[in-house]
Amino acid sequence: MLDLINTTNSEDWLSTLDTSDQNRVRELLATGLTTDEAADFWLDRTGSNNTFGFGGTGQPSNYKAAVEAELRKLICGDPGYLDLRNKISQQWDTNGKTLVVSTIAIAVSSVTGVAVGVLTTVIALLLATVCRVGLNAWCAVKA
Amino acid sequence: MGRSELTAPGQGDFEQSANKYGIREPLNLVNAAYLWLIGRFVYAVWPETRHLMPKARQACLRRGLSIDLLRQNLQLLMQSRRHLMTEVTAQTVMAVARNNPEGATLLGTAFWLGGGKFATAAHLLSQTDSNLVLVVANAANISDYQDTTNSHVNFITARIFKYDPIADVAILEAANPLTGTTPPLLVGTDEVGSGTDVFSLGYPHCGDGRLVLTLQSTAVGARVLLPVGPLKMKNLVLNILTRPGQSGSPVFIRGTNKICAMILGAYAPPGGRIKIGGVDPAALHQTTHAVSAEYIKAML
Repeated sequence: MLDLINTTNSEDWLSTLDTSDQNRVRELLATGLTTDEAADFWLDRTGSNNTFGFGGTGQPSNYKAAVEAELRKLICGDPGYLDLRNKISQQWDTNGKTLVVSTIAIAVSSVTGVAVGVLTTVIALLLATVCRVGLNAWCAVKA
Repeated sequence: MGRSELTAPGQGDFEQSANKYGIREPLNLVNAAYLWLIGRFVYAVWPETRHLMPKARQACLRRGLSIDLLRQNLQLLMQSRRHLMTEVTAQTVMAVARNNPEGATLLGTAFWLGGGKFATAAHLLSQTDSNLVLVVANAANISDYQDTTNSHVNFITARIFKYDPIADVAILEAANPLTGTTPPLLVGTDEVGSGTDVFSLGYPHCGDGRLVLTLQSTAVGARVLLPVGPLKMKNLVLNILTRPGQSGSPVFIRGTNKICAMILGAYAPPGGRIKIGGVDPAALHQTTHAVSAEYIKAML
C-alpha cells in the first residue's frame, strides 16, 4: 500500500469525493487554504460564528489530531494496521480509490468515534496532503 | 423500533377536511372554481378575452353558484388545502436524539427528504452518530393534543450519511425508509424575499426533554450572506424568537410544501458568551438564522 500511495497525486484523492463534497472542498481550496488546513476546518466548527446554534450539546472538539494520528499509524507502517494495509492493497486495483478512502474512514472512525460520513472528506483531504508533501516526508514530520 | 409507515391523505380525508371548514358540495365546486379561476387568469393577462368572462360566469350559475358564494367557498377551500398540507407535512418532522441507557437525550429537529433520508443541522451531532436516533412525535396529527406527561417515545436508528460543516447541514439515513406520502420540495432562499410568509415545524425546548411538535408562523425579515471562515452562506433572517431544539426545523413557504430554509439558531452578536439559567441573554431576540435549503438539495 505504501508504494501505491506514492503513485498517486492530490487530485486522485479529491476526485473520490462525491459532487457536493468535492464542490465544497474546491471552494475552500480556492480561497487559498491548503488541503491540510481544509481538513482542519472541516473538523473544527459548524456554520457561521454569527449564529448561536439552537440544539445539540455544544461545539464539538476538533478531532483532527486524533484522526491524523490514526492515519499516520496506518500509512506509515504501524504493525497494528498490517492486515488493513494488505486489504487496501488488494482493493486498490479492483475497486479504486473511493473504496480505499471509505475503508480508511471506517477504520479511523472505529477508533476516534467520529462518524464515517464526516471522516470521508477529511481522509481524502489528508491523503491529498500526503501526496502533496510526499509519503516519506509526511511520515517523518508527523512521527 | 418505532413506526416507519406514513400515510398520505386520501379523497375521504380531503372531504372530511372540507366539511370541517363548511364547504358545500366540494367536488362540484372544485370544477366550477377552476373554470372561474382560469377565466380570471386569462382576463388578467389577456384583456381581449374579456368576452369569455360571461361564459365562465354562466358556467358557474348553471351549477347554481353565485360568484360571491364561489369566491367565499374558494377561500375556504384553499384554507382547507393548506391545513391538510400542514397536517401531512407535520408527520415527517422528527426530533434527533441520542439513545442512552438512561433514556433518549433530545438534540434538535430533523425533517424527511424522501426514502430513508432526513436533514438536520450539523451542529446538533458533534460529528458522531453513536446511538443516534430519530424520535417520532407523540401525536399523529399536529392539531392533536400532545401529552407532555408521556415520556415514552418511538424511534428509528440513524447514521450520518452526508455532512457539510460549512453550511451546517447533515443528511441522516434512517435504518427504516419512510413511505406513503410525497416528500416536501426543496427550493432555496432565492425563491423568497423580505415579507414572504413562512412557517416552521420543530421541537422548541427539546433540550429540556420537552417533545412538542410546534408550528410557528412568521415572515422573512431579510436575506443575508453569513461568513463561514473564508466562505459566505445564504441565510434568511426570520422575524421570530426561536429556542434551543429548533435547529434543523424546516421553513416552509406558507401555503405550499416548499422548504426554502432550515433553522440553525439566533444571531450571535460578537463577543463572549455567558449563560444565565441555561440561556444566553444575547440570543434572546427575534433574529433567527435559517440556512438556504439549496445546500440540502445539493447534498442529495
